[in-house]
Amino acid sequence: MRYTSAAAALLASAVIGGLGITPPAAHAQAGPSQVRAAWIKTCTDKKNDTTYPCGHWQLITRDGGKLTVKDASTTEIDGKGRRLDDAGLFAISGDGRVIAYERAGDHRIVVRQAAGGPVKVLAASLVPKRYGTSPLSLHLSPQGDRLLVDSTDEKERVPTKVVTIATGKIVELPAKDSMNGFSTDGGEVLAQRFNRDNTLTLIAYRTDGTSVRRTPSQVVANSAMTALAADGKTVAVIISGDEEAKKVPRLRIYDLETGDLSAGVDLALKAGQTPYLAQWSADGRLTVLVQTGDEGSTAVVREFTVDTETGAATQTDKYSISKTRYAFRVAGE
Amino acid sequence: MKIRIAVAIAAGLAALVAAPQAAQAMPHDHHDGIRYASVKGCTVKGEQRPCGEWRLMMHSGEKGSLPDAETIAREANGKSSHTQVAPIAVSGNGRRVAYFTKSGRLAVRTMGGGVKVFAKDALPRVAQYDVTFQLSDDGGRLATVFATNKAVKTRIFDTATGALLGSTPGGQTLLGFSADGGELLTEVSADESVTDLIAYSESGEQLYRATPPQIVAANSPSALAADGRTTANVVMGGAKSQLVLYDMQSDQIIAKRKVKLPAGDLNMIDWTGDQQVTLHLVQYPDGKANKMTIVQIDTETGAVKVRDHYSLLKDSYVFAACGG
Repeated sequence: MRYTSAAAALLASAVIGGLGITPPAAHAQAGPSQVRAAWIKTCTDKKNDTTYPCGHWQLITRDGGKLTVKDASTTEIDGKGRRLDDAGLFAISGDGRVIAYERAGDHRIVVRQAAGGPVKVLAASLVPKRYGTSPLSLHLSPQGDRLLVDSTDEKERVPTKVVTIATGKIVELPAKDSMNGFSTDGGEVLAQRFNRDNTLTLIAYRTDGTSVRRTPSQVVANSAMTALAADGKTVAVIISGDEEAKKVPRLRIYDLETGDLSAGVDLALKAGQTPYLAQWSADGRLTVLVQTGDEGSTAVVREFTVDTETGAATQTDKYSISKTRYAFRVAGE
Repeated sequence: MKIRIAVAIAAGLAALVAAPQAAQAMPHDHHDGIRYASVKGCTVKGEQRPCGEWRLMMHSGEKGSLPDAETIAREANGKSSHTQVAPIAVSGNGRRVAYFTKSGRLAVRTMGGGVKVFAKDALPRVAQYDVTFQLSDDGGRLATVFATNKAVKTRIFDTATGALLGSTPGGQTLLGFSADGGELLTEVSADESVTDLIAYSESGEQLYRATPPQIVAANSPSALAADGRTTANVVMGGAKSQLVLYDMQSDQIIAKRKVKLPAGDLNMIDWTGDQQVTLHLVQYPDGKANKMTIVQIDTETGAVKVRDHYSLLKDSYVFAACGG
């Protein structure tokens, strides 16, 4: 999401205020303060030919620049504090202005403006002592004002936590649910639950603790990804393309309250270009990201704005990520 | 009727042929039918392979064999595959068995009756291990499914005459015949990452095609009722197990019945009456013979009745149980 108007700049300031951390004045405007993605380098252990993350997390800014996040941990740790061969936790808000990560040294989760400035250290309880940061993943809301700390511990002991950054307030969501992400305004979290009867239920959790849930048809349950709009009920459903069958990815719109499902449209993308991230913008348009380039080759990320009525896709951004990467996270992921 | 690599069985066809049973009035008089067919396994040159003849284990406790049946599958060119098991299937009522003869022909034998050897060109020339047989509950119909890389149509035969009745598209998973053998049910991966169910007439005409709800698609396999449109499937979940009835024509779940099932993994599901679904449940206890429990579910009430249970021959390499 880009802020180009004066009003948007004001909005951005408001959000920064809401974050409760002081932005450096020089970075309070659009431009270099927005980041597209973060990545971390790979190194190879020649003894056993395994790879591991090394160096610092790097930010790729909207204007093509680079920033290094020196205090972000390179790797995760387990419950005994041992470093693992998985990249440290990292997330970027949908608007590219806020980052959250696992801090080197104490492995606490922190949040700050992408452009720089002081960090806000979040509650120590977000990292379960039993497991360290290893089962966790971080997701920032589109405006960076809320953080989702999802846990994939096998025993489903650790609840998902939603942190309102300005206040530090933590809301817990059921450990057995897996998280799809925030709604556009950050007001809801879309989750899914795998039921004992092998079906999957979609659930939108609201901030007030209430929720809307429905067990959808196969096409929604088997989709590549879902994205919740600001209204907390409209779900964009992206269906995988199939290169072998020469079928392009499709889009359907699902209403979580009524169960209504649109007939769907083909997206004007190639069969192999199944988006791996979809986000509704505040004005009701849908943005999708397509990534190409396997491990060991340069990753190219393309951003498209999709017309939900026709499936027409307009490329709005394109950037690459080094082939030396171990892992990367894009804004809004 | 599916061949399960893991366990096996044997039976004595010869014994069956010698002792024809007179009473055939009851379609499900299992007492004179085959419970299952099994072949032993042994290790030759370090490789596991089937050994000896197919053994037919009868409800009466008798044991027969199928001396004219191939146990080791042949390649498309007729040479032995040495290690692969040749296909076999037992009808739901246990009265008929389909197999390849030693001379490579398709055959269906009736317990206490004769054997129908099919025409040489009844089946396409493919490796026998790429062929799966399924018989209808009464054994009157045979479907031959080909798991070749290139999709080959499934062929449907009348087992009394050997006549080819029709074919259904290749590349689909055949789930089985309807209760009366008049239709077939298949499952296929469709566009948009969903699984569809399709009902065909025995002549290969598509009757219904539906994208069922998750609770059906995610708890495969389904079985088709005699009406050719109602399916049954089971959600296996211990105390929370349920039978799900689904109408392909209206795309509606008709009923969900809580069912109390004995232990075991689902091996087969078949309609065996207008209000009856039969399950084969198998257990694989470590170091012991596999156990089969067969239950009948009343589709109206969900009441479960154990029809039969037995331990499979411990030396079974592969077995094929009757379906109904």
